Amino acid sequence: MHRRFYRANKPRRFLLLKILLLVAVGYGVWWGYKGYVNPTFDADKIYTDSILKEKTFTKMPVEVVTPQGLKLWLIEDHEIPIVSMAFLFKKAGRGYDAQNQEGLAMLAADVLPQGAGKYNGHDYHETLELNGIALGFNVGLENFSGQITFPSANIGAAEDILSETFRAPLFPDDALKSSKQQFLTALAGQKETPQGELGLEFAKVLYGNHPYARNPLGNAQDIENLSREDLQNYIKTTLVKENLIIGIAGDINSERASELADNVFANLSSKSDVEELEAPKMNLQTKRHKIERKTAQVTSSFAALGVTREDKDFYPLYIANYIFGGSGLTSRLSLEAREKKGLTYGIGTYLATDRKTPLILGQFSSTPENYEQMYQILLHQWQNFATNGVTKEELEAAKNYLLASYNLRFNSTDGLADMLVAMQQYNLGLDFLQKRNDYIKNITLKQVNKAAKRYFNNLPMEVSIGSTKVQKGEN
Amino acid sequence: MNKVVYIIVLAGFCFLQNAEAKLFNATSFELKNGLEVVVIPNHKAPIIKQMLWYKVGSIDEPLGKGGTAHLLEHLMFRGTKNVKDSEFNDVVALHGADANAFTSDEVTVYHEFSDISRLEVMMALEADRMANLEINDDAFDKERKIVFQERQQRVVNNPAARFAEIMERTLWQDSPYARPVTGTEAEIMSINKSDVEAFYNRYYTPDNAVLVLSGDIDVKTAMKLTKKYFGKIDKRMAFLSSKQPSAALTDKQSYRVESQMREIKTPRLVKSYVVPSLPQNSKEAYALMVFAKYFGDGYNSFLYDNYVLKGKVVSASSSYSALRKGPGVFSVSVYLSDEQDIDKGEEILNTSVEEALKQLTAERLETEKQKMLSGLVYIQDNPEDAAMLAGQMLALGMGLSDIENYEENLKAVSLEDIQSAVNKMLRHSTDITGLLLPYNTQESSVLPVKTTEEGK
Repeated sequence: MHRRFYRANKPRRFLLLKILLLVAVGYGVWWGYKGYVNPTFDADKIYTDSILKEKTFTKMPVEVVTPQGLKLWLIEDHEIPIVSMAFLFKKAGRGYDAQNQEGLAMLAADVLPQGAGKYNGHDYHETLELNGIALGFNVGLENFSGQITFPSANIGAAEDILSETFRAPLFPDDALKSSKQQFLTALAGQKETPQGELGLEFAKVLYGNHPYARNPLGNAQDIENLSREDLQNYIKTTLVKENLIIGIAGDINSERASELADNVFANLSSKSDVEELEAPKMNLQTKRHKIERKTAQVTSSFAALGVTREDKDFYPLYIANYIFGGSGLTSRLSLEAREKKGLTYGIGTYLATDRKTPLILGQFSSTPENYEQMYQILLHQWQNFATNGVTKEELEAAKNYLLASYNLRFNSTDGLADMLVAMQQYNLGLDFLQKRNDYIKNITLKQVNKAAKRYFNNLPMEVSIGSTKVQKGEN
Repeated sequence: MNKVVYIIVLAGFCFLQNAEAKLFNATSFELKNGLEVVVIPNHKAPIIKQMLWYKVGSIDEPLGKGGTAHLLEHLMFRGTKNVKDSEFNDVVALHGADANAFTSDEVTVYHEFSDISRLEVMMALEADRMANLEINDDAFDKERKIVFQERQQRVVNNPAARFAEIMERTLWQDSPYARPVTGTEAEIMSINKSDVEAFYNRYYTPDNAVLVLSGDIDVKTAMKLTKKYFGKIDKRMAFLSSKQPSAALTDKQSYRVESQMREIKTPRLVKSYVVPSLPQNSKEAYALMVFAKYFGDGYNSFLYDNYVLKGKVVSASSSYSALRKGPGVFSVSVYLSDEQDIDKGEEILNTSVEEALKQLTAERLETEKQKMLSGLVYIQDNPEDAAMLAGQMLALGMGLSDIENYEENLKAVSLEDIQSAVNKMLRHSTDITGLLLPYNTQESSVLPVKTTEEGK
């Protein structure tokens, strides 16, 4: 009562102002206190104020044509005494194995670095190890590739052993026999995990009767029948100069790099009569394929049509995919299925941009009672993505990642050599590194959403392995 | 993401083989709060790897609470007082960095690989979650489900991983090393928020951690920035260093485990010995490293020449995990085809070490050492490899000088050192033989297979 009386008799001038002032002071005190006990985290400010400024990796690739007429791309970097040479032969992958020789390219790649010319099996490995030379070969569906990395002081040894390897591979009996045995054992154990079996089944569904559908380890009977002559013949007729791409990086100048390439590759045959494999007709119509197995988790792979690396839609779809399922824990799929619902340890997507099989690919796994819910989340997100596309904020965030992570590609010498091969393989141009960030910056929201609409319009084809018939859990 | 590394064996020393501190050029210093910092300048590209190694892992968990260290690792990405919910991941992505973490039995490690211009953001994030973790109930519930799924994916769905767990349990008995890093299903679901908070509050303190900065930075800048971001963090009052669990090093025991699993099609056999690790006995560890190289590492090794090339086994290898706080493990393993005799395979496990020792000459020993030193320069190349090696060594309680002296210590290994270390292993080490075999009945190899297709 007394209070009310008192207030009623106070002059009201400035009351509003006083209240405002009080509120302002109070807010200031609270803000200061909060800032003191709980400093807000302002990443942008930390970045802007940072004493560490942006720098550019300045060592750019050049093209070198060797005296023998080979073309190679080179990044000279004398910071560390290491050299790496990566190389790739087109039209030499396992997709090109003859029908009764399934496993040929893989077996050849495995036994190739096990003896050549004057180096018997023992001397071959001894030379590699004593000189710190790392050498390996790889086989994909289309290509045969390899890489040699060595301390620059040991370039003579590296050059000699690799040129002998292509000139006169020995494929020694004992090494060939034990390698075959390893292939057969690996074939037998291929379905040991659901992931292993899924890989095989997925290729079969996707590629049908095309050679791409074959088992990557070949066929047991064919492997047993392969002879040393078969392997030598494969090397001689398939690894030819017209199909060769070379990338060299590290502590080497262009003259020495030319010499290295010439000494290793110049004596290969110029041309091969291998015909380009036709692109597979991909089966993406039937949407679900279930393989029943008694497993702790259901493992699932899915695919939809994508773009090649050279396609004008590549960057828009690349960014769209980053947002949809490509960015790890921050992707839409991961946020929905993992972060918000805890249904899976991982779900993600990526682009395969090969000329013959441009695809959006993805995978997830979860316990049987979660599986159907996972699948529905995938479908719902997929459709929503096609219909509504991405937001301006999502596009900005994706661009930020792609621009700020640009320099991470320069972390190792062998990585640089690899990158030089990929740049040539996909016709990115010698000035790709200078232009790449502008490619990203120039992509508009409209382009990304057009790509989302176009490539997410059809639902993905899915293959799953596991016990999907288990009774549904509580949710 | 959040890779669990069950046992960091680092592929039997591939990193250490490449290390030389003269070339490696690392510096270490300590902040006032006890945080140890290692700086490895590498100016090849404007990038940097930050790794924060906490010297705590699954062996430090209370009984029955297996999986706590690993669940905590996941929750470190789920919000602090200042960086709420999943904002950590958003900030990392916005700044173009790749962040991840892993938990082993002995360490928990967080790492970010970024452009040098973003390092301060990464340091601020890492420092913030060292001091300010705030676990909300919903995130806890979801993340516990996620690690449950992770265990199903990595272990339960993989027969070789399940068998490895059986072996560990048998070998280590009631030592904490026996327990799986992920915890069991029941353990995971029994962990409470307060268990994880208690674990965090006790062990995530600057004086129980090593910070590695490897990349385009100099020591002076690193000192300034670590002080700025990590220097303010107080030590935890309650921190007590964890006791090293005892493990069966003295009384020799021999165990034998045989499992038949329906997914397994060809036999694989392994024999492991409990031996000293590098911090436990440097002289013996170096001797075993060189022996392991000669005995079973790659082509031209004793195992490859005598058993693989001669067609007695499909493949054979040996490994020695020396970079461990607790005991190391020396293993021999062979894979057989379904036609090869399992008893003969087991005989190889039991006799090959002694046979190899008998045949080792002083000359061969020198060649093997040369091979181990031939690639030292590689550690200067990728800043991520260097960070891994330095972090691991320091988290074990070893110093940079232990990396610096690698070449010298390796060269000093004599034939007698190897004979003494290997003989001690054969006579006195606890060992375990494991046989992972296919079912030998016809019926079990026929699985129910049904394929259905639906929808268009």
